[in-house]
Amino acid sequence: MHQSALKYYHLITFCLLASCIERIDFPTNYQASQLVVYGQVNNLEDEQVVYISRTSDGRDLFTITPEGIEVFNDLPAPVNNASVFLVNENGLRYPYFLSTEGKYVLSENIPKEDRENLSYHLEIEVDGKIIQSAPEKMPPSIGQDSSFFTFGRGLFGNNPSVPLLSIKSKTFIPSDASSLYLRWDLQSVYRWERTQVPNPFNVPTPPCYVIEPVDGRKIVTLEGSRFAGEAVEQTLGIRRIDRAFASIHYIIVRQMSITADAFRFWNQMKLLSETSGSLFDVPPAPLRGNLFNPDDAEEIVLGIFELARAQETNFFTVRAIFPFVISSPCTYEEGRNMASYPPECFSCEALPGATLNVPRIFQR
Amino acid sequence: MRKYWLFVSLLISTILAWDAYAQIKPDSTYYYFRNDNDPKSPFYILTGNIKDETGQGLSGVSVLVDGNFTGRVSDERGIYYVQVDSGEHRITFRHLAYIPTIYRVGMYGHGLLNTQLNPKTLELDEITVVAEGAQRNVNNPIAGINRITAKELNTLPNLMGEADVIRSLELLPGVTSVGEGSAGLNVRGGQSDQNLILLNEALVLSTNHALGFLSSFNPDIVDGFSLYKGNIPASFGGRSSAALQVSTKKGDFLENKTELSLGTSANRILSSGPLVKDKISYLAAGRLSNANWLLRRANNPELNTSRLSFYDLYTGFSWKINQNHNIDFNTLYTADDFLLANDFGFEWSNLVTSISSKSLISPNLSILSTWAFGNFDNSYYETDPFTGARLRNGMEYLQGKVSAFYTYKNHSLTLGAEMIRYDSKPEIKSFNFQNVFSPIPDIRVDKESGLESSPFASLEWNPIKWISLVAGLRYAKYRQLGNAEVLEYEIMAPKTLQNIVDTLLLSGEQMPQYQGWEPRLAFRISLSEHMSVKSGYSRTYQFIQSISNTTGPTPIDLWQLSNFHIQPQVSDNYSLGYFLNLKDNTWSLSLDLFYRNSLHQIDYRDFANLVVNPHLETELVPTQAVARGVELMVKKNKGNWTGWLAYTFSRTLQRSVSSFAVESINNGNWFPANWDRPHVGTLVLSRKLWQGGSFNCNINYSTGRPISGLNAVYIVNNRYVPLFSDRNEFRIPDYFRIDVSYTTGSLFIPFDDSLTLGIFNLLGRRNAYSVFYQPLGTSSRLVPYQLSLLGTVLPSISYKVRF
Repeated sequence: MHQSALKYYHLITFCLLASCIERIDFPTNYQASQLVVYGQVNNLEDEQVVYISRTSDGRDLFTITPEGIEVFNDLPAPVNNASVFLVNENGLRYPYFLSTEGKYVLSENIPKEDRENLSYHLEIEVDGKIIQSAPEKMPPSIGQDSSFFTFGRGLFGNNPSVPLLSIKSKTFIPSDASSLYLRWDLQSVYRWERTQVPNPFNVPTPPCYVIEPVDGRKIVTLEGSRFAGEAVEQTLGIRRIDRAFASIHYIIVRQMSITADAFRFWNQMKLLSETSGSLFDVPPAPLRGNLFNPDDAEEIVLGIFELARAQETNFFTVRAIFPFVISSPCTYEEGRNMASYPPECFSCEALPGATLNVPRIFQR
Repeated sequence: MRKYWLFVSLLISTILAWDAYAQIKPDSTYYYFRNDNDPKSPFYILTGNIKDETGQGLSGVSVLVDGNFTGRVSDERGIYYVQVDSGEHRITFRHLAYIPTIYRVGMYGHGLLNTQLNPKTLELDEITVVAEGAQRNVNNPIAGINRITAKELNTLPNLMGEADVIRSLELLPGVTSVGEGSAGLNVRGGQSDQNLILLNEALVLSTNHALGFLSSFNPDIVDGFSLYKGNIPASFGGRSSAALQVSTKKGDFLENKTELSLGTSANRILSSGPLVKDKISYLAAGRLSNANWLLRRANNPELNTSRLSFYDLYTGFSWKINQNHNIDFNTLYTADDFLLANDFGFEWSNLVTSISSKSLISPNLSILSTWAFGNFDNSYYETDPFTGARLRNGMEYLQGKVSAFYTYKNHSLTLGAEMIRYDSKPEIKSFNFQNVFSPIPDIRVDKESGLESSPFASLEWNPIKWISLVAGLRYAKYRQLGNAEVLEYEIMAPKTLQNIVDTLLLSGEQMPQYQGWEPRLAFRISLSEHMSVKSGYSRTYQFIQSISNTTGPTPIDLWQLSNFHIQPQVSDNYSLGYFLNLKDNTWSLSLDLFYRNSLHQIDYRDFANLVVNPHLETELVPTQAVARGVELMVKKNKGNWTGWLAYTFSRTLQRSVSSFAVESINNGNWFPANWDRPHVGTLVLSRKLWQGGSFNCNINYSTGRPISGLNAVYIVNNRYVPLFSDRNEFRIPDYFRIDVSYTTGSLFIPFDDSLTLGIFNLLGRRNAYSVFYQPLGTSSRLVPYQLSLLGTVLPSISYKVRF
C-alpha cells in the first residue's frame, strides 16, 4: 500500500472510528558507532562521492525543528579519518580525498568508458579495520525521461490548501528491459535574490544559490520489466510553491539505472519510510546494504555503495508563469526598518543549503 | 485409496443407520405421552420428580434430550421440567454421584416422568458420568473449555453496539489479539490461523468484517459457542491451537417470528417460521453496515468517494424427517467492500454452506454427518492508471464428516472420519481492470490443492466415581493433489534464489504427503463434588496456514497449503487445571496451567515479499514456538450481580531453527511473538435491573504487544533511515479500556423490544495500536508516533424489536 493510500486509511479510520496519531516518548536503545557508508559512482561528469559517518548514542537533547521541538541528538557523526579507495576488477585503486565533514570525493576522473564497463568495489580503511563493498557493475541501459510539471492546490503537511508544484516524468522504457531497475532523485536549484540596498556605487548584491532535495522523503523506483517498450508517466515528487519560486527555479530530475541488489535496498528503504502504524505495515527491520568487514562477518556496516547509469533532465520556472502572486520577502522597500527583513535577505549562511557559488546548471 | 473406502463405508453406515432407525421399537423404558385434550403443539413440557435411593428429592440432576444438555437441572426438591419437541426422544438423567438413567419417550402431549437414581458404588465400575449444567466446569473431563451463550453475548458492551462472537472471546482468559481491529484471535499463545472455526460442524476460513473490527457471525443467528483452548477433542482437527464451534439457531417450527435491529454500525433483520408446520422450518437473517451512509454525508470529497460496506446473509432450514432423524441445511455468505478515496480497495467474501443429518439409531447410538462446501475470495487493488493492479486469491473446499456416538453404561465412544479437499485458487495480479489499462499480462502463480483425511476415535470412561478419562486418537493425513513444479535448492545451503539448482516435476506418488498420529488425552480427578483437578494432552497437525507479512493478521491474507517446502505445523499442548464451585455453584473458580510447543510455525524474513511469489519458501523462516502460562478465572453465576474476573499470565516465544543467517531471526535466539502479552486481565460485570433491563461493564487491561524499536538513525543520500532493533525487542504502551452498556426491558408494551445504549472506551483512552517512526514536522528527523485506532469515547445505540 503506497503512501497516499495510507493517508486515506487513516482518514477513514479517523472519521469512522476516531483514530488518532500522536507523538509519544518511546524508549530507544541507541547503538552508537556503527559505520554508515553511502557512495555512488555514475556515468555523469559530476563529483563521485562517498559519505562516511557513525551512528550516535543520541543522549544529548537539543532543538532541531523549525517548530522548536526538542529531539534526541541521534544524528550520525561524520568520519574524517578514513582512507577510501575505489577498486576496479583489475585491481586498480583510485583514492578519494576528504572534501568536507564526512564527504570523500574521488580524486581522479576515471574515463567514462571504464566507469561504464568495469566492475568496482569500495575499500575503506578506518580505525584499523577494512570495510569493503560487494563488486558492482553499471547496468547497461536506462529509460529515456522527459520531465515536466503541473501546478495546483492541495494538502501539504497539515495545511489543506497550498499551491503545489507536481514534478512529473514520462519515461520510455527500452523494449529489452528484463533487468532494468530505475530510481529517481529530484533536486531543486534556485536563485535567491538578496535585498538590494541602494548604495553610492550602485553595486548589485550577488544572489545566493540554493541546492536542496525535493520531496526528500519520497523514494520513486520502477521495475522496468513490467513496462518494456512502454512510456510510463508518473509523479516523482511534489514541492510547495513558496518564496523559493520568486526567481529562476530549476528542477533537476536524475534517473538512475541501478542493480537488482540496489533496487532491493531502495525499495526496502521505501517500505521503512512509508510505515504508518497501520495493520498493513510490513514489520520494520534493519536495512542491510552491500558493505561488510571481510575480517569480521559479525560486524554490521550500514548503507550502500552503488554503480548507477544516470541521466539528468531539467526544467525551470519563473515567477510569471504562476497564476498567483509570489512575493519575495527581501524586496527593498524604502523606509522599511532593516531589522524587519529576514536574516537570509542579507546573508547566504542564514539560508539552509545556500551558497554564493554559482551551480553548474546556472553556468550553462 | 484406503481413505476413500473408509469414507464410503462410513457413508454406507449412515444410510444403514437410517434404515435401522425404522426398526427401533419402544422398550421397557419407553413412555408415551399423548392427551387428546392438549392442543397440537410443536413442543411439550416434560416434568417430574427425581428421587435418590432413599426417596428424597435429588437436586442438581442434569436433564439431557437426545444427548444434548438442555440447561435444566432438578431443583432442591428434585423437581425438573424441560421443553421437548414433539416426537420421539431419548431423555437422560445424570448426576455426578448416581448412575445415569435413560428413557425413550414419545412426546405427543405434556408428560410427567418420575424417576429414581441409584448411587454409584465402587463395585459398579461401569458408570458413565457426563458432567453438564452448573457443575460442568468441575465435572467435564476436558479442561480449557469456555462457553458463552447468546444471552451472555448480547449483554456484553461492544464496539458500536454490535454483539460479536470473536471480540467477546477476548474477555476470556488465555485469549488475546494483536490489537483492536486486527482479524483473528490468539488462543493460549497460538497464531490466529491456528484456530479451527466451525459454524455448527462446517469449516469457516474467513470470519472478519470491517478489516477485523467485527466478526462475520451475525449475533442474531448465534445460539452459543464453545471455545476449546488447547485440549481439542479427537473429533476436531486440522488446526494446532484451539477450536471454536459456533452453533446457530434453528427456525421456529410453529409460528412466524421477525426480529429487527437498528444500530449504529449495522442494521439487522431476522425472519423465522415454519415452511411445513412442525416439519420444516426456516431461519433467514441479514445484516448490512451503515458506514456507506455515513461516508456519503461527509463533506470531504476523499471520504464521500469512498465505500466501506459489509453485509452477510444467513439461511437455515431444519427438516424433521421423522421423530429420530433431522436434516439441517445452513448457508452463510459474507462480503466486504472497501474503496478508500477512489484510490485503493479491498474486497473479500466467504461462503459456507452445509447440510447435516442427525440420526438417533437406538437409545445408545446416534450418528451425525455433515457435508460442507466453502468458497473464500479476496482481492486488493490500487486504481492508479499507471501503477495500479488488482491482486486476487482464494480457496475452495469440500468437507465431509461422519461421526457415530455410542454410549454404554460408563463408556461413551465416538468414532468417525473427516475429509477436507482444499483447492487454492491461483494468485493473480492483473494490470487491467476498471480504469486501469496496461499491455502487461497478468502475473499468475498457481497454488496447491490438497486432501486432508482424518479418521478419529474417542472413548470417555469413568472407571470409578471420582475419575473420568477421555482418550482419543486421530490420524491426520495430508496429501498434495495434482502435479507440482518444485524448485530444488542446494543441499546444506539456505533457500534463496541464488541457491536454486533444479526444477523437479512431481506427480502421483511423488507428491508430498504428511501424516501423523494425534493422541488426545484428558482426565479429571474429583476431590469432592465441587472440586476437581484436570489434566490433558493433545497433539495436533496443521496443513494450512495464512501467509501475511503484516503487523497482524488481515482479512485478505493468503491461505497456503503445506507443500514440498512448507511442512505442516505440529503442536503439543499440555494443561493442568484446578476447578472449584462454591456456595451452591454461585461462584466458580478455575486455575489452568498450560504449555504448548509448536514446530514448523511460519515467520518471515525481513521485508519478505509474499505477493505473487512462486517461491514463497525463500521468504519464510520456519520457527519453533513455545507458549506457557497460567489462567485464573473467578465467575459469579447467580444473583443480581453476575460476571467474571479473568487474569492470564503467559509468554509466547519463538526462535528460528535454521543454521543459516538469512533464514534466521535475531541470530536464532528466542524472541517474543507479535501477540505475546504477558499480563492480561478482564473484569466483566452485569447487574440485573428492573423490568428485565441490565447494566453491563467490561474492564480490560493488557501488556502492550512487542514491536521492533529504534537503535539508531543514519543518513543515506539525504534521507534519514531508521536502524531497527532485533525483532520485537520493544513493547508498545500497556492497554486499558472500560466499556459500559445499559439494556432496557421492553419499551413499548405491544412489542418484545429492547434498547441498548453503550459506551465503548468510556475513558476515551488513546490506547496504542502501534508505534512507528515518521519525520517530525517539516524536518526530516524521525520521531516515534503512536497510532490509536479507537482513541476516543465511542457511544452507540441499538434498538431491537421482535414480533
